[in-house]
Amino acid sequence: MTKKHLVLDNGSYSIKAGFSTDESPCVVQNLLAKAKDGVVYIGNDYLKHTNLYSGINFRRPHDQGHLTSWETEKPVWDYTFDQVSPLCELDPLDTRLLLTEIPFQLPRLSMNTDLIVFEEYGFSEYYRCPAPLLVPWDVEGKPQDFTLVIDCGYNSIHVVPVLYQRVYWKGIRKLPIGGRHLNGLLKETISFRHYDVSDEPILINTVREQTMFVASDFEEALKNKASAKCEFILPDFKTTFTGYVRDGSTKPPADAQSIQLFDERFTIPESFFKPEIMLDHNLYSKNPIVQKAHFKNLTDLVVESIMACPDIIRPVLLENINVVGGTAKLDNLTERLISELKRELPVNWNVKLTDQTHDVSEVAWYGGKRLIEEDIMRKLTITKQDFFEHGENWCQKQFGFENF
Amino acid sequence: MLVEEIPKTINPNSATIYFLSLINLQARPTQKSAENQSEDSARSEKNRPKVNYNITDLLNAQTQLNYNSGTVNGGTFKSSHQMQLEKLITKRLTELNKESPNPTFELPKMFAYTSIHKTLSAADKKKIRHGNSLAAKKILAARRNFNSYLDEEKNWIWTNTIQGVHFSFAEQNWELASKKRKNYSEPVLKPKVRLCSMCGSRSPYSRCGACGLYSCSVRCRRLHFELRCV
Repeated sequence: MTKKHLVLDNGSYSIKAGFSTDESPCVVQNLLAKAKDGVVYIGNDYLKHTNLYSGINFRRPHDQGHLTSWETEKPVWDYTFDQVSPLCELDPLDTRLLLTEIPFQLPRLSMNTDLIVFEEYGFSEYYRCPAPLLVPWDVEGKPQDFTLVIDCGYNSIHVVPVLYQRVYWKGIRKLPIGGRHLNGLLKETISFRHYDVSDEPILINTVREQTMFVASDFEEALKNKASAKCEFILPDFKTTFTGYVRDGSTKPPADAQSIQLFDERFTIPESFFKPEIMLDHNLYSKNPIVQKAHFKNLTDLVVESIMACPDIIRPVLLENINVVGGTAKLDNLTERLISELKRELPVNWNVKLTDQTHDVSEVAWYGGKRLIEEDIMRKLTITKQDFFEHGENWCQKQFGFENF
Repeated sequence: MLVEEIPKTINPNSATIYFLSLINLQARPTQKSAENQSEDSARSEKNRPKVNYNITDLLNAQTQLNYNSGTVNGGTFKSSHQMQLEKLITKRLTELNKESPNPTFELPKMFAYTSIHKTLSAADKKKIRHGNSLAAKKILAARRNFNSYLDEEKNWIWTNTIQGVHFSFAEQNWELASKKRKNYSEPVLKPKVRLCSMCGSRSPYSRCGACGLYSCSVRCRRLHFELRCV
């Protein structure tokens, strides 16, 4: 076969795309950016214009994790296709596409996606699946039969059991808190304690990526919050454009502005384990419904997800926990989750984290790269002829989820 | 899907739902789904109305009927309490979602990505922006957000599933009475964390009567009244 195989992991923060022959994926931020100069930049283009970082606006095609706005997504895809094949134009007619989406995407929106893939781009073969399904495939040799995938995305965290290379729909749990909500909380905290940063999305994201961590013991960490002190030098747009964490060796310029971070470094990510932190805000905390409500945290959801699976495979599933996604890069998140799980579950169950061979945000892409070469893909994909013969509902029936 | 004859005496407890063509005609969805017309109906006489045998649409029509007539109750239905909580959570999440001041800025009229491989004429650009086929054009020009799509399919079976998964972390119908956990699927209620709204430390006191936020010391409490309390 001379066909080219394209894997496109369409994340809500960044697209990971590349041909199955490529070494590593090409990462493109999934957004359109409009800066002060009024120009709209596509994908990674805005990164070069460091002087425009302040006051930039982002427009993302995903709304609450669902791929909604195609007028935003189309330019980004066009841009991505040029990035993956810089030498010649990508020919969709000769390409098999593997595309990811979030679990339980609204069927209407999935059908829109199918339609764009076939009618607008005209790919010859196509397979669409939730991103966690691809994670077990990122191994040498045969993929594991029982895998628990915890996909920590920009919009939400999904806990997905994958049994025999199939998504077990009944076991899926979701915590609708992701990287962007941490950004939102951080923005509120910094705006309250230091400066107003509501129009500095890049700064906020940098502060989160560089300073945040999950405490191994939240109570202890709160008691010694002075030891978590960290000084972040704000960008002055002369020596630094993004800002950086001050370390002992370098001396920042004398007029550099900085903010000191203490407990926010670990209190904000603690929302994964104590979702009520997110709702501690005037408008909500005075409401008796919120005051009385109890929330399940990430650990509870993982336990629930496992308990929704057939009982004999539960312990096996726990021995193969895969934490993937961009937000999983958060310091200490996986370690904390594993230790909490050990506390929740029977002592004779072996809770074990599987080490990822690749960058956690790109695991699904590497899995897809492996899967698309397998023979089984020929049975799974839908060809253009099939689509035009059977229609969009049929596509959803092949790729869609089970209701319960 | 198996075709079977409808038995003359239907057991009222039977789970099978039988569709008569008459029902189909009533429940015919308003949206166009020309591709789904089965071949049989296409062959039928001209003046006979076309019947859509798409099973998903039929199921949806049935659930919608059930909702409207109120025959479905219990089970998936939520208390008003839960609905209010979900509304509040949604509101808060949208607030935190907001990344930059104007996340839905307008795109210029002629906005499209210019390929590095070929130069495009204005007509090509228009095509890229607006799409090739009629259906694609419609999607590319939709300008709708997720909630508008969700509202449209509010009563359909899958929306229930999607929303159920989304809010599963905030479900309030746990077995509160059972002190001792019998199996692991019942989570234990843990005390909620109380953090001072000013300095972020742990607060040993109860909520502020006016706004519900915590404070950890007299100093913070005073500051809180000055700055954060409504």
